[in-house]
Amino acid sequence: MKFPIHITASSLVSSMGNGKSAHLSALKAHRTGLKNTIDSLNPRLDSFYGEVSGVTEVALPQSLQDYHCRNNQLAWLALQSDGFIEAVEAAKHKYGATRIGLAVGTSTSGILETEQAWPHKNAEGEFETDYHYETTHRMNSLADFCADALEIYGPRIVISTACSSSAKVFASASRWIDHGLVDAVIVGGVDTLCLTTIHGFNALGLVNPDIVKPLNCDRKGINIGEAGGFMLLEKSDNNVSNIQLSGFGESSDAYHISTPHPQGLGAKIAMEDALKMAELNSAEIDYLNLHGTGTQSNDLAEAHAVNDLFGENQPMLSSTKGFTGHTLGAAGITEAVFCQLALENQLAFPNLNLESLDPELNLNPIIETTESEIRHCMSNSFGFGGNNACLIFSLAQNAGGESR
Amino acid sequence: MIAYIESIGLQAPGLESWQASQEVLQDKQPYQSEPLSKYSPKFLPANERRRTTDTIKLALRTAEEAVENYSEEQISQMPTLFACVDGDTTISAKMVEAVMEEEPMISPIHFHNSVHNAPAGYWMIGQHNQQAASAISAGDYQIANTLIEAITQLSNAHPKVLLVIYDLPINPEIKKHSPEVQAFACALVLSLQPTADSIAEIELTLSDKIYKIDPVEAFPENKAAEFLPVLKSIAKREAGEFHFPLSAKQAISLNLTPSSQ
Repeated sequence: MKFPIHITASSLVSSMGNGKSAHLSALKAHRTGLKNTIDSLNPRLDSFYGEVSGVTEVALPQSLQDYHCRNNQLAWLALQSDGFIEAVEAAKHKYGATRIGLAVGTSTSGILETEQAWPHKNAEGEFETDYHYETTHRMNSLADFCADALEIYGPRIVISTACSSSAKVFASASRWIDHGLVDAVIVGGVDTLCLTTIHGFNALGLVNPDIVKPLNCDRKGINIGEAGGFMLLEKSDNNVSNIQLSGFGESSDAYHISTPHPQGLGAKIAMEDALKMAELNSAEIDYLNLHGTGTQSNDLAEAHAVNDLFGENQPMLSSTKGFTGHTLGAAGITEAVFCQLALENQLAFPNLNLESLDPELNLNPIIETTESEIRHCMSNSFGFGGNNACLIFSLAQNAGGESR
Repeated sequence: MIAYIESIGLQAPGLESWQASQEVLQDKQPYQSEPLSKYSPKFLPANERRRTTDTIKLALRTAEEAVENYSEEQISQMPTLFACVDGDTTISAKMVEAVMEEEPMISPIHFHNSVHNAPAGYWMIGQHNQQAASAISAGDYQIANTLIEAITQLSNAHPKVLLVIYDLPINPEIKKHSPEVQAFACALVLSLQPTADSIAEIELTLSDKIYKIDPVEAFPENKAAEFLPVLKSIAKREAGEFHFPLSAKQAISLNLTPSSQ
């Protein structure tokens, strides 16, 4: 990165709660957001789910009614959380609305809207008139909704690379800033519960009928969760915040469409590239938030990559999927906010539900919230198609590199 | 921002390959819609090849055409961006239909093909490419945001980027559309520096003017096809200035300078 990139605002809504302080309390108290029921839809599959309460009741502003769907309702909740909209307003005042970009990730956009409209179409031959494919289900809907809601006019995209989507948004944002196209970028991600993902993952045998147990011997797969979160990234030579994005890495496994490279080769490349950009060596990472989905293949592949990269010198590490479930296209932003909380509070967060650590992984996850000096956090996000992203966040005064 | 177009792929009904379409693009022959010939991604292992859908195949055949004169090594080093507004709506319709059943059963192949980055995944697997791959959508602002996303990836470490822009008609189960909507795909190998193979220079600048895009003849309602006028200008070796909306209040101006060959 040519310029230091500061995180000047952020917000997060997940099954753990609304806002960063709710998340910090739940993380400290080891309190999961996962439950074995969903209120908003009947999943017709036994599992644990991370549902955000109150999404169904969220009303969008009158001028944005065509965007009405669960995914944009959750986006609206997250934009209103943690003073995020106010921070965006301040940035607009500072830079101008055309100088602020928007890059957001989602895997399934508003497909739930089509699921819910389908029975009427099957019965009557056509959709009800209040079904709007373009502004809900179509893949660009989340970016259009956020840009319209915030009234910002810079570059804007949805990145949809499955479960790495809202990690890769940081890479795009950094490049736009480096090229002088924008002074600030809103990054984020939103994914919501729907039958398509629940039964799609179930078809692949990847849904755990019980609560998710990342890194356990008998891990049986994922729990699906929903979440929405945002960060405001600003280019600045001054330390306008105490947290910086210091590096990112993106890679492809080039191995299989839905199974990770068994040795975690692509994952390792992404982690190496992020370290290189941050001008850090692996021993300087204080906390690693694993992708750690709780499937046999992901956790093993990621463990190989971590062992290859860190050797004997593993940082404190954990998967936080036991708190949130796998929030898919929102996993990157969710865990980016957890890294921010780790840096701000000098805490590393635990790997929940660890009963019998799989010795084959050769990992030593922390199982208690742990106070420690934390200067640099790494977060991994990997998706279908062998699509990998790794992010490094640092306390501003500790960020590496000469340009800072 | 300046980049150089080094190679072009073009795959649409009646415009099958950049080379074969030259006379039509230069307005020497009238456009006639003809179905694309059958295609199979032979660069993929047989089991992966069988699983690809029409959407994935359209993206892959266009990417393949754009890199046909590059070595395997060169292809494996190009970060690759796939831009598509809708993704695979035929698969969406099938999955939604499947979850309506009393016992929902989605085909595992449909599910992993449903991700927006499925073409990217197949491409990177088939080309042994471990670089960054991405899949984006920007709706009405597709071309401007896509060009920015691709060109900002060029760097000394990544002097060439492969960009594939493709869109198909939305599945009629999800949205009824006028019958003339056709598929369209083009692919560009973009380079940071001019090379002996450069076909054209493109310079992008931001503009606060608001432009509306006129529907592209033969391909209305297809966002990918909004790039066709640029391709026609390249085919005619004509310089030109094109405008694409980036948002409701900003646009990019694309200054095209074909190489003198």
